[in-house]
Amino acid sequence: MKKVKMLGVLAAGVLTVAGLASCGGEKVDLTVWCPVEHTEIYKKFVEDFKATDAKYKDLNIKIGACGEGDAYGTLSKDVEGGADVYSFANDQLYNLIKVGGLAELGGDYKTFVETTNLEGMVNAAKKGDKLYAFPITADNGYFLYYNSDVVTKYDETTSFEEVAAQCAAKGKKFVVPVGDSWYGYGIFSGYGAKYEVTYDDKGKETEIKCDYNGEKGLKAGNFFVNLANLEGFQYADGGSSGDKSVVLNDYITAKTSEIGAVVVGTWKYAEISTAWGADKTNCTYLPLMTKGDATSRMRSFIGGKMVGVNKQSKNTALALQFAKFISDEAAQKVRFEKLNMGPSNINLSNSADVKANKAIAGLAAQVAKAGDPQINVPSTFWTAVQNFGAAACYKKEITAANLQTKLDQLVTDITTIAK
Amino acid sequence: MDSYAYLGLSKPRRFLFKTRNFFVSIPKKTLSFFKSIPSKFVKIGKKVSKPFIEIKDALVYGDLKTRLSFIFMGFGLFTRKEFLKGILFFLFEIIFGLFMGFWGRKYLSKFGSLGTELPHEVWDEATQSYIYVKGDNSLLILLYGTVCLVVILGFIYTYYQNIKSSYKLQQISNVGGKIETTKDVFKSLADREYHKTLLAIPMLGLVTFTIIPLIFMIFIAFTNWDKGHLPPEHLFTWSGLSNFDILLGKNVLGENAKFAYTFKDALLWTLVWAFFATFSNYFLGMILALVINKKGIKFKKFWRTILVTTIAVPQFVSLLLISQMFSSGGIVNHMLELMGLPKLVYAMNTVWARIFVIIINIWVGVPYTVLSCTGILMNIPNDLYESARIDGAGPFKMYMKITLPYMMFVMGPYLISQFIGNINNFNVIFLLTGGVPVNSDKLIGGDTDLLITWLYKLTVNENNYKMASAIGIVVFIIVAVISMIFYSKSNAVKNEEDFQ
Repeated sequence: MKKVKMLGVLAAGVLTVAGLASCGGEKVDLTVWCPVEHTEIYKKFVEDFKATDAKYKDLNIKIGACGEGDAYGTLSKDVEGGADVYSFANDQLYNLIKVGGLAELGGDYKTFVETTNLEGMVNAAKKGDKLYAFPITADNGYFLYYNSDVVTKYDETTSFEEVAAQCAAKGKKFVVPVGDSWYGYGIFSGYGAKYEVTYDDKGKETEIKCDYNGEKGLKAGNFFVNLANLEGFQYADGGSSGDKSVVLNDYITAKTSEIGAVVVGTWKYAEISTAWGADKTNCTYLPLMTKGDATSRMRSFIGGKMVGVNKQSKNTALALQFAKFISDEAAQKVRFEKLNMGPSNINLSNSADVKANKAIAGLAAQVAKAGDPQINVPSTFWTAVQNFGAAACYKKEITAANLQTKLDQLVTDITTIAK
Repeated sequence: MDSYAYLGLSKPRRFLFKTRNFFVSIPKKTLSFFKSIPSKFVKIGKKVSKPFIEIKDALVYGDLKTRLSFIFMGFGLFTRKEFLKGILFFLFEIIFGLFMGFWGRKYLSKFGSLGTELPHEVWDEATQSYIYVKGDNSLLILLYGTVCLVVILGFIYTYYQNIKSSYKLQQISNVGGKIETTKDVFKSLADREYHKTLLAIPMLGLVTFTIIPLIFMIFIAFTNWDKGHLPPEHLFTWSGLSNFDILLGKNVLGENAKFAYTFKDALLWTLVWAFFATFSNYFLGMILALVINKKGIKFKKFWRTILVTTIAVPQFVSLLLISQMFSSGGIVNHMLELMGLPKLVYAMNTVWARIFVIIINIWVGVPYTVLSCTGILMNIPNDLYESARIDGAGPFKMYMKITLPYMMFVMGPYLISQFIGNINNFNVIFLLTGGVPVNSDKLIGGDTDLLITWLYKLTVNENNYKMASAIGIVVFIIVAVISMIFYSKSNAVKNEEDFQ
């Protein structure tokens, strides 16, 4: 009996100890996050970085995986546990600053960024006049891909209607991701509808103005409604409708050969040109939204990827050194050559190689005609506009009759700041 | 009226009599309830005041050794030769003092405000970087403050035990009673008080890993911790009952009106869903089991095996596949289109989406019910049916009078747990529709979102922890009330001995 009792106590004790046992950790000098498909390149970056200076020789730099679109989602959960250096898409900049995930850059680093990168990208890395990140690409934007077998006539006067009609005639689809607010922006902005945000000194939004329910917004709204019923038009989004078969990136992958034309960015070039044939793949500016109105071209957000240093880093000085190393001209050249990412470095973007790249040239053509830097976007914008796009072109709930009411609702949603 | 007279009444009259009786007895019952209140209070009051009276007695009647125990814990025990307990009490006091002095104080002192100091940066010329100076972290203050509160509660209890046992020991030694030696203490821990030895560690684990987190979570519902107040960059603070005001629609400004609407709709849909999901599965499963069990059905084992095989495929795989099949470009809609029929896309139509999830839930859930029903059906004594048949009962009558009561008796508690499980059925909704169709009148949530999937979106996508916690509390209350009412009313509890 006594033995059994002792055993009972022992068992309870062992369970507790096992539960409490935590793993001891090795000493890590720096943690770096990059998209999982960039891991090999980052390993090379780390090796090269260690070779630059004798004092870096024994550093333990750890590479973790985190997509450029997920940086805010991950860091907002635990910013102190996040990486010291990570890359992200520029639309998350404000949110990352808000959660304390970005250290401000000053002195030499600020000079480095400002003198070597395209002005648009430097501005996209700023909030007010404070700089927060090292730009690494300038290719976050969208333009038109068309298959020259399907769309035979395309120039500066071509409208959405005409592209859709040419696609429909060949039994193909014209994919416009209107249910994704990143693209939806281009429709409102193309007609000149605007928003304006004011911030307090802590970076919180204090007032949002938006004229999407005005005269220009109404034109944009009408475009949504008409587009929905256009023959040849195919709706797509980033998941806002919840319909899994219309998610833009998956849709293009699954049905490339059924597509005659599509509005998307550089990252889909490889897939599309493989399916269509490189000689038939054309990348160019977006069409006009109102036939015959040269001022109504759909605009594109212009942004890019950036490398940021976590404000909570225990080793900020080293993190800054490393971030600079993986965002300079040489590193951007590697990214362009290996990953097809359009550089933000001034020298590199002027090089012949970059200019010869079809997708990057297509984006450049769009930027030259209608591009807006992606800065000062209201935080309420994304959900509100994607829902509007889905309601108009997916559920087709919006008609000419209730358009004004829906636009008023949209503006209310955008201008309401959460307390 | 006695029971004979009652039995002599016709059915409608019996009903009338019962109804009348019910209303007549209301004043009496209410009165007796109110009458019982004072005595209940007295009972509670006695329990609460007992420790205070004991402490007062120790202070008034205690000798110097007992009184010194008020300052030096365990003093009375130690000086009266109960060394081990005395030392442990004193050690506990010292550890507690050090703990609060060096660690607890700094969190507890800020517990009222949850922090006031924001972080800031200082420029460092040498490394060309901004050095980050940490501010207060509301989250840590709340968490460690909670830990401190629990530790203080533990201390108060130990303090009370210390005085109680000192005074008791004084009384024992006054009459020359036996004093427990250290050896006795160990002996009793291995014998008379073995339960304490065995439960000490699990209890400690329970407090650390369950109770403290639970209190912490409940506290969150009374703060304003959301995406605008994320530590460590921002502070959050106490906000009283304002989160519950938003849920109940008392705060109708801007976003909050949407919030209240979403909550109301999601709650209603959650209950409707739980009802249909539970009972459709239960009755269809039972009918299927009856059919398979029926005499004359061939290949019984084959049918049962087929049902079991569907269980072998992980549920989430089936759900994700079905979700793809029914999307606008999926195989089902493609076939409907080929046949010239209108498409059925769950992301577009709320009513269809809600029916869709219930139907698919039947599909994935029925095999489980069939299996559990089969066993019980085979257990119903056959002579019951035989005598019913001799009395001339038809199959429907037999089902209503024998099968159903028997099943309900055994499976009543199972049904309740299924209902509760369905209120929190995250998998089916999340994997099947993800909460869509999108409804622009709602905040974040869609039309098939249950409270639990909405709660997931609020925390994971929106970092809205304050509302998630408040919703969690409300869901808990609803679930607790429903299960307590139905469980206490169920036959299985009321007539426990009947079927044994």
